[in-house]
Amino acid sequence: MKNNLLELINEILANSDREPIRTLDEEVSLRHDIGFDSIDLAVFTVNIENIFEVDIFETGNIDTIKDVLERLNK
Amino acid sequence: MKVFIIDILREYNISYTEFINEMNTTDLKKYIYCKDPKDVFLHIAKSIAFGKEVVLLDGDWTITELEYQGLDHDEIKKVYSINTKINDIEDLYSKIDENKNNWSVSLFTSGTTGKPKKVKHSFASASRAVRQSTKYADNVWLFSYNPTHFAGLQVFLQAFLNRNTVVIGNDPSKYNIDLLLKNYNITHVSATPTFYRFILPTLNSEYNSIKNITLGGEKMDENLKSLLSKKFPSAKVTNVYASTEAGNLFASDGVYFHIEDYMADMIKIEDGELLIHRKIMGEFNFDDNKQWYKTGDIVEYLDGKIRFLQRESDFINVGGYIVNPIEVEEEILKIENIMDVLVYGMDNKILGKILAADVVVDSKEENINKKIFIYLNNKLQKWKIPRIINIKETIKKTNTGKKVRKG
Repeated sequence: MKNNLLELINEILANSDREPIRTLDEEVSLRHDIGFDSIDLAVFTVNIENIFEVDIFETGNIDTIKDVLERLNK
Repeated sequence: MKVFIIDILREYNISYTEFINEMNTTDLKKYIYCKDPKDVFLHIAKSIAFGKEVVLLDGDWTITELEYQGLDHDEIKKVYSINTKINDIEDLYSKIDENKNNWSVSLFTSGTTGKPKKVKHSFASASRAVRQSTKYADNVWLFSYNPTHFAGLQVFLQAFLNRNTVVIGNDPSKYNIDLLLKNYNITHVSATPTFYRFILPTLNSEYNSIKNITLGGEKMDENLKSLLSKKFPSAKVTNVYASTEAGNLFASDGVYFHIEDYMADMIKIEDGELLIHRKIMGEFNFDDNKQWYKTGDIVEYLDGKIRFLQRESDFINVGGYIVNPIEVEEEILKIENIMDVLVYGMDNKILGKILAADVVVDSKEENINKKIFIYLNNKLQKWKIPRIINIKETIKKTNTGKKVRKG
């Protein structure tokens, strides 16, 4: 699952010519560490929903990879 | 010395006195086309002080976007010749009082026919919602908007005319908003719902200095309002309705917007749509015989209050930025092997709407998504780039050949 997330994140980074990330630490913040802006986050949610059929922002409180994994495992 | 602008990314704190010194050594541009919000503020302030007409252009517009607005490269470099200096802060505000009624500012917005339109505001219409009083003297603003858009102009005028401090934070993925709110004792935040949805999960402290939270630019949802009230318990949460064409019109502390007495004769509702009288609009290419401007907003009226239900418009509100799909389609059609395209908005919890495109491509094209992103990255502002691309056999059209936009 973590690998799927890494792939989704790198796809978003690549589409705007940003450097890919190699590993995904659970404490990493999507906003402050990966540098996602609101558009990136929106794309991330759509792509996650397409793959896992889960709306991770349903509760609105997602910032780290750990938050995402917890939502997906619920 | 009172600090006017704080920008932690550009690493400066600039006082009102330093701001005036910089105004004196900077030629006033007729077209304000700058990336640094401080430069935008400087030219707006100087233009009001000397009563000059200026045009606001987004600092991140590409050459393609400037051409789309019909702007000439040489024209936008023009400056005013002003030989008078501003002596000090009192002289600045006295010049503003003297010359503000000769000032005007024009902004660009999406036009209904696909081409953008320029809307010109006088000081009276641009500052209609600005309140000046000594009781506002200690307000500290978080600046979250694009400084060349109407909402940014509003926050600038409110702060500048009350001699407040403005803390720049207009890109929450780059500025640490949590630190800004805590370290600078910010009292007022005005931002889009998308901005608040983005920052809320990163706010982990108590923010007792905040007195006012304002939302604008997009439809507010009750859930967001409740989250904001919990996070900022001592703040008054207000929703405002404004547009580039009409300026600031209504405010609300819930879903119903109160209509001020002076506004009562300036609005009417026809077939559910909100209409605004031209007397209180900015000036733009509007049919001379028409007195009422159709906003495209479908509303419900109840006891002197209105509630916004939906928008009847082809324009797409992506996180508070209005996108004209025709501009985006025209650009996508320039890409090799794209035969047809339809750009539309899809519902999204973060942005309100996310931009999507259905494209018809030549059969030999393999990696069209990447090609579209790379091409548009150099041509359009980021919120105008469709993020969801679907390959289609055909694009559905009406009998008259008009594309059917969904979403």
